[in-house]
Amino acid sequence: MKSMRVLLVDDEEELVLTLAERLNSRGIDARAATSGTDALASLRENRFDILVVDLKMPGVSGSEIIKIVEREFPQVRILLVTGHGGSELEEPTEQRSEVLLKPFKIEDLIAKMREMLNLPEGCVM
Amino acid sequence: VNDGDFSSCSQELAFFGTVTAAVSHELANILLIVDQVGGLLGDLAGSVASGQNVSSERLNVLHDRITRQTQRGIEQIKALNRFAHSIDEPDQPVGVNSQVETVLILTRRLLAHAQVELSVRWLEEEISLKGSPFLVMNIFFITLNEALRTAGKGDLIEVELIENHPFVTIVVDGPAGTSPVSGEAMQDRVHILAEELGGGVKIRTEGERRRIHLQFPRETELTTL
Repeated sequence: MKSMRVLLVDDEEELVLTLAERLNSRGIDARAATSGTDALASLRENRFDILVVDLKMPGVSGSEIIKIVEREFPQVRILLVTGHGGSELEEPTEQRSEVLLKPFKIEDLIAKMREMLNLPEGCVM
Repeated sequence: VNDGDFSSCSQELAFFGTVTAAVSHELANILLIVDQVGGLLGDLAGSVASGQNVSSERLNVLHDRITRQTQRGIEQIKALNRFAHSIDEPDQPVGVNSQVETVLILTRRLLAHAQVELSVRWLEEEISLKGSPFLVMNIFFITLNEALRTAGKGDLIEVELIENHPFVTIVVDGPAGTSPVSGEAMQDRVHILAEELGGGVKIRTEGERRRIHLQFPRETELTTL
């Protein structure tokens, strides 16, 4: 049985490394990217079920990544992470995405991803 | 309240809003990281309790993460505190190095998002101006923001603090940019604010670079005594 494959994208390196480690220890195949450019490279080399991306990042922004992912990787679900209460979601693509507000608990993140993939409670596969 | 007062007030509120938004975002990220690293330590404690080995190197990595984030948070809080108290007294000694450093800490996230390269040449010894710390920070912020507006990814912005008795000059050197509209509004605003401090502004464009000189009279020795 394959585990849920997640790509975490945030310019806060210590955040994505820690989150990836915690998700991996719970049986989720999580990888980290610290820029939009790294994220797109990783998406082109690997298969993911969910992209968890910070909206505000230097360089290729979360919003730009969403547009590319919707076009090139339509099977990948997108979870936007933001610390601004959702008021900065301006683009229609952003407004269509699932949103998780910072700060969040690891259980909240897992529950949200499971819900997006229609997985039963307690299941991460 | 007349239109001029309202315009001035709204621009100062915009400065306040930008700074507090940037700091709150930084603090939210710091707390989230510390919370997650704490959670990971809890996960590892659970592993140890169930008989698994956790290396001291791994624990040290996590300890270092918490230490770095805590220091980052302390730096933000200290700068925010200096910013908050900058309006306590309208006329007080203002350390130039200190005020410029405060703005650079508070706008670190803006600078990171702009992806510019920043170089700062500090005064070898701190020099005080007589005036409002809030005004000095506001003027420097407006000027820095203008340099960010015209800068692209990888562009260099140079900040230089120069003692030229009886003045102190803050120079912000950045790309000249192509749209003068916002630049003119910035110049008008900075001129007004600098005059309030008894100073002035000079802007020189050379080729593709623009140097903005913010000149302020330093606190005289007589006033210091």
